[in-house]
Amino acid sequence: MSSNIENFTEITEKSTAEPIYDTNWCHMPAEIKLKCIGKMEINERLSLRCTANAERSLVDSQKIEFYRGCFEGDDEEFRVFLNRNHRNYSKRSDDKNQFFEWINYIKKVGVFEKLVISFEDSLVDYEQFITNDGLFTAKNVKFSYCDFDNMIAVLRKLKDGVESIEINLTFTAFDELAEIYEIPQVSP
Amino acid sequence: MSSTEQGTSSAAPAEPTTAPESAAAPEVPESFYYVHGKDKVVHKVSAGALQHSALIHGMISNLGYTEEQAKANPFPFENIDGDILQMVVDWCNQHKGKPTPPEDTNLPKQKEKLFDLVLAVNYLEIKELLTYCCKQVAMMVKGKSPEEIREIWMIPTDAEDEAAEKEAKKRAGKEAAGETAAAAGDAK
Repeated sequence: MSSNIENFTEITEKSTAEPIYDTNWCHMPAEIKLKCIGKMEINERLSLRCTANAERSLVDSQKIEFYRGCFEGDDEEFRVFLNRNHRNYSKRSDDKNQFFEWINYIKKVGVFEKLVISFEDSLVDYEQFITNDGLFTAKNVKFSYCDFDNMIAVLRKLKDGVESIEINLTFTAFDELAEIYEIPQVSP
Repeated sequence: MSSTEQGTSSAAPAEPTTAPESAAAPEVPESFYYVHGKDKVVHKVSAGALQHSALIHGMISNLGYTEEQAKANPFPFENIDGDILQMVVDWCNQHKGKPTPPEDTNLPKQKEKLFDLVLAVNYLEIKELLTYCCKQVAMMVKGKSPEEIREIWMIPTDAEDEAAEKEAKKRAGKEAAGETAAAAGDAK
């Protein structure tokens, strides 16, 4: 019995000697959380924004720089290739809604050095693409094998500060150059 | 090869009779300050090491604290656990007058300890250490799914958050009603 009491005393002493930690992510002020999010890569940010609404708005308020972003789509699937800090990320989906929900997030937070757009099939009837008023932030933009109407829609969604726009126009599309030059982001 | 060696030896001063000025100059004694955390254990830290902390550095320079005054009245940091303050002091000593490396692998891996360290470092305004800590926090969730992150960081779901908020409102309402009833009783 006495040994039990001794053991109990020893355990109590040990437990009081060791500090009790109960600090967690939820106890961090928003500015610290933002600093930590700033150190996360894209996949971790995407996971964190799925945990709770409060985390989502924090993640969405933090910009993320990409060296290159490539958005492609045809009648079979949609693809995104991102390059950041010499690492590549890719995402493929045949679910248009899911893909554009994801694009809207990337568009909101992404700052691109090079942006390549290649949507072969027209998306003008797709409301989520046309009506979303979020803007792409990019320095150099390239359109490759891109439907003309999709290209016009993306050009209208470019934030100021674009340094170069490269367009691979088909011969017939030369007539439509006037329409491109009318876009404020394009006209000099 | 030999010509280089010859050149070197001939270029070396032949009569090193006078010692360099810096070596001859009397060394300025380093001043020390004292800090304590929640556990009241006093840590002696050099002024050079404390330069990492913008908060303490500001206190020393703005308040004109002398070493004697500092010895008699250690800086109290009652909101910081003793072992966390020890960690901070050790880091400041290790990196005294040195350029900080891009990575620091000696930071605690335990999440609660790390979060306590983050809060302490943020309070003490140690910019470089805060950057390392935030990087370490970000590393904790590398490759984790939203569910795993929620579990590791104990992030409540939106439903849990709402329930807790409702409960808090209910409790506040009850307390307010109790106070009103007590005030009415006193008035009678």
